[in-house]
Amino acid sequence: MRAFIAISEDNGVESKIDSRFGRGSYFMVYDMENEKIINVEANKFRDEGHGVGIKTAGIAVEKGCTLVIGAQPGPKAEQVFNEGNVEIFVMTEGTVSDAVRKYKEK
Amino acid sequence: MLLGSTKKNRQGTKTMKIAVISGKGGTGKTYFSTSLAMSLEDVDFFDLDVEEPNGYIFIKPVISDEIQYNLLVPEIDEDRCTFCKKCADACAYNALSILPQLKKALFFPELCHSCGVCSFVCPVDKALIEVEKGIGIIRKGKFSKGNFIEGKLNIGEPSGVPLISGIMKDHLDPERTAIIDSPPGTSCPVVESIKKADYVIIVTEPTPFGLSDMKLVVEIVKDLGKKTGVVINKDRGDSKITEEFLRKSEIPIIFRIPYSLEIQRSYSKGIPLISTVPGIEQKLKRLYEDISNG
Repeated sequence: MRAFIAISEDNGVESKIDSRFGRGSYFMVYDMENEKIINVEANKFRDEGHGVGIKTAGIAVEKGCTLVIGAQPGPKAEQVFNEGNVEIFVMTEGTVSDAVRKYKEK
Repeated sequence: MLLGSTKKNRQGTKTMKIAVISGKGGTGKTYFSTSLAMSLEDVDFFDLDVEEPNGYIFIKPVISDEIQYNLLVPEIDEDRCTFCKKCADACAYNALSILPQLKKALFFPELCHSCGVCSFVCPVDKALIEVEKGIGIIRKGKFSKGNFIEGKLNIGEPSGVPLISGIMKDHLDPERTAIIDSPPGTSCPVVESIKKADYVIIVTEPTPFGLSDMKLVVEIVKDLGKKTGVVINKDRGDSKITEEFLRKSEIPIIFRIPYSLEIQRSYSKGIPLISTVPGIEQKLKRLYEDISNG
C-alpha cells in the first residue's frame, strides 16, 4: 500500500507531518509494507489562492496512493479522495515514522 | 466615468450615478439611499446588496419582471473525455480535478469563475461543454419616481460579484440618474458596485465600529479615485471621533440624520425617511444638486 504524507520538512522518516494537508511543504509517497520512502517532492501548489487541496489530492490519486496520512484534508480534497477510494488517516503532529507505527497499531 | 462626463436628463439636470456604501453593516445605507432616490425625479434605484436586498421595503415598487441570471460553467462528458487534464491545468482557480486512472472528472462549482478557459483548451469535440447555471434573480419594476432594479443571489452562492457586474452591464442606463444601494463590507462586491459610480456616499454611524469600517471603505474609494462624502446617521451631536477623522482625511460631511426615537419607530414599520422627517425631501434634493454640481 502506498501512503501519501504531507510533511513540513524533507528529513526522511524523521520528517515532521505538516499541520496543513493541501499546503504542506513537501509530499512523501511511502511504501507501507516495505517501510520505504518511494519519493519526496516539494509542493509547488502551496502558494496558489484556491483549490490547493484539490490539486494535492489529485496528485496523491495519480501516484497510486490509497492511503493519506496527515492533517485533515478539506471537504473538496476529501471529495477527490472519496472518488478515488483513498483512506484518510488523520494525524496532525509527530514524524513520518510515528505516523506509520500508529497506523499499523490501529 | 468622471464627473465631467455626466449627461443631462430631460429636465436639464445632470444625471449622476451615486453609490451608497458603509463598510459596517446596519449604519443606514438602505434607509438613506431609498429616500435619496425617492426625493428625486426620473431616477433608477439599484439594490445591489444581493445577499439580502431590502430596499424594496421602503421603495415599495411594483415588480413587473423576474429574470434568472445565469453563468456558464463546464459540464464534462466522461464518455468522451480523454482525461488529458488540459482543462484542470489551465484552470486558474483549481475548479476541476481530472483523475485519469479512475476515468473521473470532478467539477467544483464554488471555485469556478466562469472564465471559459476549460472549454477553450479542451481538444476533444463535445467532451467539455459550457452550460448555464442560475446564480440569482434580477427583479425589475417601477416606483413613483422611476425604475427599480434588484439583484438577489441564490442561497449558497459563493460570490455576488458576477450578479452585480451583470446588472451594471445590462441595466445601468448611461442617460439616467442612478442611486445604487451597495452591499456592506469592503470586499469585491462593494468594489464592483461602485466601479461605475460618479460619486460615492459613505453612510456611517458615530461609533468606534462605524469609524473603523469607514476607514477601510475610505481607502477603497480613494484607490478607485472616486469623489466621496459622508452621511452621519444616528447623529447625537457627539460624533467627534468620526468628524475628526473626516477633517484630517479632507472628506466632507454632506448630510446628517439625527438620532431619534421617532425615526426608529417609523423605520421599524418600513416607512422611509422622507415620509418621517418633514422637509427632508427638499434637503435631499439639494444634496443631489450640490453633488451633481461638483
